[in-house]
Amino acid sequence: MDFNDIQNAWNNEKTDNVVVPDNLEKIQSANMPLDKIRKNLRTELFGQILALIIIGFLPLYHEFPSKFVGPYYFIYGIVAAISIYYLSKLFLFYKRLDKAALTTKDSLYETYYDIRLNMQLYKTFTFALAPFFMIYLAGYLIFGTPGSTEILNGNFENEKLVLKVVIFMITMLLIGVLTEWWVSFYYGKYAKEIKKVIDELKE
Amino acid sequence: MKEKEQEFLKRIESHKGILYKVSKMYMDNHDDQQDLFQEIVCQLWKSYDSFRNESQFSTWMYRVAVNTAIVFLKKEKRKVDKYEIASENIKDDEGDSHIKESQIDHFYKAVQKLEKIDKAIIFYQLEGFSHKEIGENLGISEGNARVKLNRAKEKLKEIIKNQGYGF
Repeated sequence: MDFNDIQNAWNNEKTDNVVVPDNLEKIQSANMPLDKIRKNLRTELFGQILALIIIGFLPLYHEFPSKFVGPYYFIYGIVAAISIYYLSKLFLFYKRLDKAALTTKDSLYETYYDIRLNMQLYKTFTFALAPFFMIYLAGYLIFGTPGSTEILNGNFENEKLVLKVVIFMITMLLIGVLTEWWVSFYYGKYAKEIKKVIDELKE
Repeated sequence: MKEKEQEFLKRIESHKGILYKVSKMYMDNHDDQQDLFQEIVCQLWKSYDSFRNESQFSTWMYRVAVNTAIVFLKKEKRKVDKYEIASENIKDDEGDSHIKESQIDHFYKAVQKLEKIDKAIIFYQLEGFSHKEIGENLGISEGNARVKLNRAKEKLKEIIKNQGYGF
């Protein structure tokens, strides 16, 4: 066999029995990197909405200090606004480009940067919410544990204060590390795969 | 059915062989090939508005098909059912069409082992594209396309030899 044989076999390959779908509505894109990301995001969106609803009802809990209901909902409003802003950005950007008809190099670069942009947007979203999560955690540590409100009056034991600060720091670091891992695990693999193909194109 | 959709499907019907071949070059089992074929049709339909009649439908279609195949992701957790073609099944005394069939099967089996860009280059070459046209479609220079084509052909030749098929 040589390349002429391959060419002949290629030209003579029978493709008459290939069936083209007769209804385009039945076909749905599901195996492209951005479609996969969109699917992942959709699942996360439901989680986000559920979490927002649950934390919205938290002040109804009978031990919640009534004087903090106002500030709580103030912070809640900011969290909801940030969530809506980022989630709408994450979803809208998929529709911004038609990449398939570009040259392969441009198409790959567009897809790669879209994924990287999406990853950065996702990280910023999480980091934007992190301080509010820490405020909720501080609220819980101060008001949810017996005798801890004394800390507000300046009456505290150094050991207990150090413990709370350490919990704070570890939580903050965990948020950072887990976000990086989550983004890299769920979205980074697509970016890596495309980067590998881009590298193949280099001279 | 809308007129535009009908016109599109008619065009796809007359070029379905190309889409089928791209799918076979990029996916190694029947189910994935089917999925890729459908994905290409889907992407072509989604991009159909960007197609201007100043270029040939087939030229535009090649580009969308190859770009889709390159980034297409296989369905996860699917039982892999790779087609295996044992070299001892090839008999020289068979009819000419059977030999051609074996050759094309061996080619597809070998091409699976190439990198994605190499597959695209081999595909364009088999479809009669010049080095310049291959470069234009991939977004690389003509010289780079020539070098890459030669390398891809060498790799393909080695793979076919290693499969036990004379080259």
